[in-house]
Amino acid sequence: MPAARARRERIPADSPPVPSFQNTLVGRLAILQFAIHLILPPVLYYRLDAVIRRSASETFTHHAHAYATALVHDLELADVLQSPNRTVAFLDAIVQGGGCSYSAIEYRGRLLGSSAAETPSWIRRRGNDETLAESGDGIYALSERFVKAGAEGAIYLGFDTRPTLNQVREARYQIIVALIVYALASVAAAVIFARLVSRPLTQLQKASRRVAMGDPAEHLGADSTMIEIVNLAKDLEFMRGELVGTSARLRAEMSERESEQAQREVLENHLRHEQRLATVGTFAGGLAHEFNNILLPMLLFSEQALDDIPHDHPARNNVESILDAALRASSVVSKLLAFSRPHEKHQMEPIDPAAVVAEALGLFSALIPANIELLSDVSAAGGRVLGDPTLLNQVVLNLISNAVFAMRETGGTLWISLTPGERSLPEPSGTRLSPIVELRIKDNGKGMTRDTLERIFEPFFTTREVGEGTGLGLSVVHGIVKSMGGSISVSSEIDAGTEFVIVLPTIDVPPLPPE
Amino acid sequence: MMPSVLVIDDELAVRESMRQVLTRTGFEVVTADNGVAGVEAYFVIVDIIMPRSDGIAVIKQIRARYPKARIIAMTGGGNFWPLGYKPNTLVTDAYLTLASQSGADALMKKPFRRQNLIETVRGLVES
Repeated sequence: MPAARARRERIPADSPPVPSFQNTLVGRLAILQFAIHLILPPVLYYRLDAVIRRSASETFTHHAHAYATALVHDLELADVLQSPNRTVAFLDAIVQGGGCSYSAIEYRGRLLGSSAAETPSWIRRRGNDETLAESGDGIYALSERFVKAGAEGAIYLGFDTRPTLNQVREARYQIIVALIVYALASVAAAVIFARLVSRPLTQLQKASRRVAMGDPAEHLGADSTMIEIVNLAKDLEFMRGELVGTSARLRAEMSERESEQAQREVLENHLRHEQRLATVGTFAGGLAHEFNNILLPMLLFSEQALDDIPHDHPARNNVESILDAALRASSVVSKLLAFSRPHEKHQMEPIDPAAVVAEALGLFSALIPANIELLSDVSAAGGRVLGDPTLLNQVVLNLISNAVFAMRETGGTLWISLTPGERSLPEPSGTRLSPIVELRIKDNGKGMTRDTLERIFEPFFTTREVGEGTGLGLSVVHGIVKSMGGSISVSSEIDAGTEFVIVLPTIDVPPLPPE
Repeated sequence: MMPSVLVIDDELAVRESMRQVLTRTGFEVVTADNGVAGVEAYFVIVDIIMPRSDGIAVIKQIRARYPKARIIAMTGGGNFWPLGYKPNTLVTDAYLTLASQSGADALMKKPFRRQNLIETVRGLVES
C-alpha cells in the first residue's frame, strides 16, 4: 500500500537514539542505581566499620582499665604476699572473674607469680596495648602499676580479645549483607518503577505507530494508574480522534474529487469524440453536397446519351457503366448524408427491436459462412423503441456483416443478444432510471487496435482493402443510433474479438395487436 | 406550345443536363446561374443552396412577384460547407421544409434520375 509507505517515510528519522539497553528508561535507571551503589555502600561500610571497631575497642579498653584500677585499689598486698599459694589463688581469681586469660603480679622488681606456668615474653616488652587488635595474637595486654608499703609493683593482665573481635566481625558481616540487600533492592525497585512507567509508554507508542501506519481505528490507551501517563494517553487519544476525523474527511474529499475527475474525463472524451464526429459529419455533408451536384449531371447526361446511342453501338456499354458508377456513387453519398444529419428526423414510429433483429437474422442466416456459428438470445420482453425500422435493420445488418468479416478467415462464433434493462439519466433532482433495450453483437474474430477503435465511427475510416468497403458503415450506424436517442459503445481486443453494445431508450406504448 | 421552364443553378453542368432532358421532353428551357438574372417564367426550378444567392430568398421573391408561378426547389443536401458550420445549421430536409414553407410547390433531392425530373415537372404542369 503506497499510502502507508509514504506515511512511514514521514515519521522523523533524523538522529534517532541507538536502540540499546542504556538508552531505555529501565537501562538508565538501572545504571544510575548501579553507579550510586558502587560508591555509597562501600563508603557507608567503611564509616560504619570504623565506628563499630572504635567503639568496641574503646569499651573493651575502658573496661579493662577500670578492672585493673579496681583490682589495684582493692589489692591487699600483705594478703597476697603472705605465701606463694595465696599469690596464685589471687591470680587465679583474677583470671576466673575478670575475663583475663593471663595475669601476673610483680613487686619490688620481682615477679611474684603468674597464672601460667611460663611467663609470656610480651609482658615487659610490650607494656600497654593501645587498641584491641594491636598485637594480632588475640591478647590485649595491660599493666597497672601500684605503690604499696613504700615500694613499686605492677599487675600484668592479658585479656582475651577474641570474643569481642568476633562480635565486631559478625557486625561487619551483617552490615555488608544489609548493604548488599539494600543495593539489590534499590536497583530492583528502580527497574520495577521504570517498567511501570515505560510499559504504558511503550503501549502508547506502539498504538500511535499503528495509527501512523494507517490503522486509525486503533484506540490509544495506557494501562497505568499514573496520572501523568493517563493524561498523556487521554490527550493522545483526543488527537487521534481529531486525526481520524480529519483524515477520513480528507480521504472522502480526495476520492470524491478523483471520481469527479474521472467522470469529467469520461465526459470530456465523449464530448471530444462527439465533436470530432460532428465536425467530420459536417465536412461529409459539404462533400456530399458537392458530389450530388456533380452526380446529377452525370446521371442525366448518361441517361440522355443512352437514348441517343443505338443498341448495337460499342459505346453503349461504357455509358451504361458510367450510369451504374454514378448510381453507386450516389448511394455512397446518401449514406454519407445519413451520417452527417443524425439529428434529422426520419419516419419515427414505435418499432419492436426484437422483430427487427429477428428479421435481420433471418436474412443473414443463409449468408453466414459455414465456419461461423450463430448464437442468438433475443428477448421479446423488452419494450419498443422509436425509430425507422429500415434504419434499425441497417444497423443490425451492418454490425453483423462487420462481425462476419472479422471472422471470415478464422471462423468463430457470433453472439447476438437483445435484453431489456434500465439506465440512469441525470436530472436536476438526481438521476432517473429509464427503461432501455440493450443490443449486443459480439464476435471472436481478429479484434481491433486501440487506434482503430478510436476512429471506428468516423466516415471513410476503414481498415479494409480498397474495394472491400466504403468506411461509411459504422458512421452511419452511429448516426442512426444517435437519431434514436441511443448510444453505441465498442470494446475490442486483438485476436480475442469485438463487442458492440447499443443501448436504445424504450417508449411506453401498449404492444401492437397481433395481426 | 409547351410552357417554358426556368432552371436556376450555379453549376453549369447541372443547368445544361437539365436543359437537355427538359428540352427533349418538349419544354422550352431558360437557365440562369443565379436568382438575380430576372428572367421571368411560369415554371421555375431553383437550387436552394448557391454561393452567390440564397435559393429561399429567390423562391420568396418569385412567389411575391408571381403568385401563380409553379416552383420546384432542389438541393444537394448537407450543410453547405464545413466552414459555415454551426450546430443548428439547416440540413437537407430542413432546407426542403423551409423551401416548401416559403412557397415551393415541389421538392427534389439531388441527384435525381431523369424520369423523376420529368414526372415532377409534368405533375406541376398538369395540375
